[in-house]
Amino acid sequence: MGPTITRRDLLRLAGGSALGVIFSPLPWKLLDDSAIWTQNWSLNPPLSHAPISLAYSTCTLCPGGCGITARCTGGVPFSLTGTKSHPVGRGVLCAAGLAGHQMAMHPLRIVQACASSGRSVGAVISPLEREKAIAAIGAILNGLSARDAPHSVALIDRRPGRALSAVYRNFLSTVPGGLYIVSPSAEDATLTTLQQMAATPAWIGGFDFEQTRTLLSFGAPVLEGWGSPGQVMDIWSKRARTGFRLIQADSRPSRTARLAQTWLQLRPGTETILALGLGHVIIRENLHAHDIKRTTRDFAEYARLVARFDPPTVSALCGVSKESIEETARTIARRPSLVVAGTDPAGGPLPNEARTAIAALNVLLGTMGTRAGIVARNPLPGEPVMPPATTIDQVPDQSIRILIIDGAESGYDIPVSLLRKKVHPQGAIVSLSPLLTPMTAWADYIIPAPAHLELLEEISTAPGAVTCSYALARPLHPVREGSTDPLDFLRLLSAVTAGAATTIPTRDAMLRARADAIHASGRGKVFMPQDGAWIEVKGLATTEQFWQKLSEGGCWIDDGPAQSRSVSFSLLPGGNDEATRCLALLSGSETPEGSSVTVMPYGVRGATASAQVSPILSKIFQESNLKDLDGTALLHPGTATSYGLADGDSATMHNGAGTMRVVVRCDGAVLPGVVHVAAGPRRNNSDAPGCVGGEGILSLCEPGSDGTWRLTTATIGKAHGSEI
Amino acid sequence: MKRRTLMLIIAGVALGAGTGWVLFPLALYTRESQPVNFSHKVHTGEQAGMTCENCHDFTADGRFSGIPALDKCTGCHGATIGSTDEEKRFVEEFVIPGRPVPWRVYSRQPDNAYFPHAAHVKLAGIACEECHGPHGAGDALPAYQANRLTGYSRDIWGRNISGIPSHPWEGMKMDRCVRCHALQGRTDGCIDCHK
Repeated sequence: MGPTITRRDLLRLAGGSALGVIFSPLPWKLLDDSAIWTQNWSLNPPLSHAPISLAYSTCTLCPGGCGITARCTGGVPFSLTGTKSHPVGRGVLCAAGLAGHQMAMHPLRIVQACASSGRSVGAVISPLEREKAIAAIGAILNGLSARDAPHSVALIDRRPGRALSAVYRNFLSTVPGGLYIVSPSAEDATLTTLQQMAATPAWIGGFDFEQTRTLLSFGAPVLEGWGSPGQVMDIWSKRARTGFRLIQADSRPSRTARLAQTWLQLRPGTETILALGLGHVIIRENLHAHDIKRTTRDFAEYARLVARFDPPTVSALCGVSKESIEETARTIARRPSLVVAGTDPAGGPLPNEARTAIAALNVLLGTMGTRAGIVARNPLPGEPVMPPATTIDQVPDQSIRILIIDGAESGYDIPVSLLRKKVHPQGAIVSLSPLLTPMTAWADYIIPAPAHLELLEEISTAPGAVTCSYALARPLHPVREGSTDPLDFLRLLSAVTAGAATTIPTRDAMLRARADAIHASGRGKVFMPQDGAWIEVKGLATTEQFWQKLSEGGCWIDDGPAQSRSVSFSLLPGGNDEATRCLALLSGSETPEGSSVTVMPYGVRGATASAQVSPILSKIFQESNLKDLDGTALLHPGTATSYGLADGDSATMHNGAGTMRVVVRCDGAVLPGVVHVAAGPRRNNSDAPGCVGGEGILSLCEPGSDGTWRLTTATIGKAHGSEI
Repeated sequence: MKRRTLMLIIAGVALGAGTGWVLFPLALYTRESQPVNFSHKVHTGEQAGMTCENCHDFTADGRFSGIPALDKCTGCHGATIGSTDEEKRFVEEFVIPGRPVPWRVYSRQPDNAYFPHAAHVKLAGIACEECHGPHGAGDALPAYQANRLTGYSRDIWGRNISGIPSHPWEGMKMDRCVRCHALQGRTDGCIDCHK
């Protein structure tokens, strides 16, 4: 009889085999192949290996309007780059733009009309036939009566100025109680404020960045995707030669603040005080424009107000030294210089008083209408003259019965709580977004629009540009079945709504009408991306030829700034009330009570809480620390220690609006007692289908009566267990 | 340790190692022959005297054409010019019906990897053999082996399953690109090669 094989023998053999396998390539090769296998769960469509072709379009992920060159195979784009020598984009695309072609395949893409079970985090979103959803919206509209006014139906346009915006306004004008709303001003905050301060309301201006030498920015993320990123980075890269100087007045140690030649780190919420303090020095030292009394209507009142904001007082309130305030005033007085008010992509706009005080510095310095200052811009040909739009903060609370949220992305957040305040408890919210976001998830009905680069769209003048521009965003993907063009949505809604008797144009007709108007003006020239050539509009005999050039990816640029004309401004458009509100600031702001800290949300344009970026970007941001991800809380080490926190700790923040978990990051450049919390980009796990993720820090921000949400207070402490 | 235990463990190690080194590659890769057994040697030898660039050329706009299209072949092989059965089959099955040859490409990279031949061959002056080996002298095409998990050719990893190249030209994974670029003192960002 041979030897008996026992179970122990088999275990020994297996143990030896396991050891042997470890000393073979099997586990390591399998690991490598498995990693590649997971990479093949691609969001990109399968590509054919057909010859590579180039297609030209324009990015519409933000109002910047950068030129896109797409490398395509079999008609499918597989990589995007900035179009070389493009007059708006300057050959540059931001990270979101580089991955823009993947948005059509985003896992959180919505391709069917949906209805939500309620406006809460746990709400169930169920598919619904589009016609049924529109019939339900129409039924609500038809059921409204005059007593439901003043604002029965409102539409919030996140990118005003498009031909589509005019169609929206026309539609709303035919609906009882129709109201057209725009987002709070962002990159155009200074210009919008100056428009309100101008005696001529139709005045339109732009920043002559190319020529200016000193830029004083109050929190504008100038070097982090602002205006047209390519233009700003071009100016910044040439600073050694041109002498361009950036002064950043910012509480947060942002990338812009760290890179700026001068960083004025002011206490949160003291922008108005600092701006008035600078005005004080400019007037005291007679550094203002010599014709200031002619160009302003209330210089004496303004001078009386700023007289109270002497540098020692301002320094005590802002935390910026007296010497820095005086030096900054003298620096910006050495023209050419510009002063801009910032809007954080997540933190939102500055209060009205701050915007006015900052904009007034431009008038005081005489930069208005001068080269290298703020110059008048011609309106875009074909742009209808319409009354100023209402901003969301101007809408009375609970006054909206149906709120339609346009699906275009502005790159800037609006907290859901701000919208929620404006909608009647029995009202309905309709989202036209192609992607599931916290804002979309809050809607009662979702009628998804086509995704980025699926629809022929237009993009006109970039915010703050001195000359107007116009380009078409040529589609690079076919429209996904189940998506609804917003024009079709309006058409279907008109059909089921009594009294909504407006003609909705086709997309082609709508865009051609504007192109025809530009051609008819005979102004400007068209940049052609294929060869970098410029074609005079006057040289294009027919409108069809002009349309053809735009369709091929051409970008129309106007001849130049408008003829400068004398416009007078009010430095205190709010009169005595405004002066009183400013003087009240001298008594100092309330410091947070007890163990509370001042919380300031911040974000990156196009990657904030209400936006989705391509999952590949979420992954890169998450793995590289290139951007602070949502829930990253920056604290001064001393503040962290006083709350028992250390770098890398998980902490919870709490206030009356809610609770959220954050990851602590200690940074010695943060002001004590202040916590800056990132609202995006989102972490990769929140991009998983079925998990929209919450609004993050914005859910803790209760917008004030002036519609701002930059500052809030909360308690912070170490997180325990599964505490949310 | 008892002798029996030691023997069993050694046997196990041998079994495990054998599985990993011999059976695993056999299971991992499929073996597919090329649609035509093309002889590079016949074309690049004294009789035809062709060079790599005669077939694998650059287009007018500077892009690399890769595997030549059928019309490159039909220039000479519009009808049978040799005496081999393989050429006769090639002409009958592909040239006469005008059917493109479904070559299996040993060096096919992922779609998101962008490799410009022009920059490497024309600017850097790298010879074809430095990356592709001396297959221009081969008389027959090796079997195409596809990785069952990833779908890529075995030549991307390298013929040696250990991943240690037996020859300098073996392997076309990113680490090889990175190593060579580092030697050349090139600093590259992700999007230089990944689109």
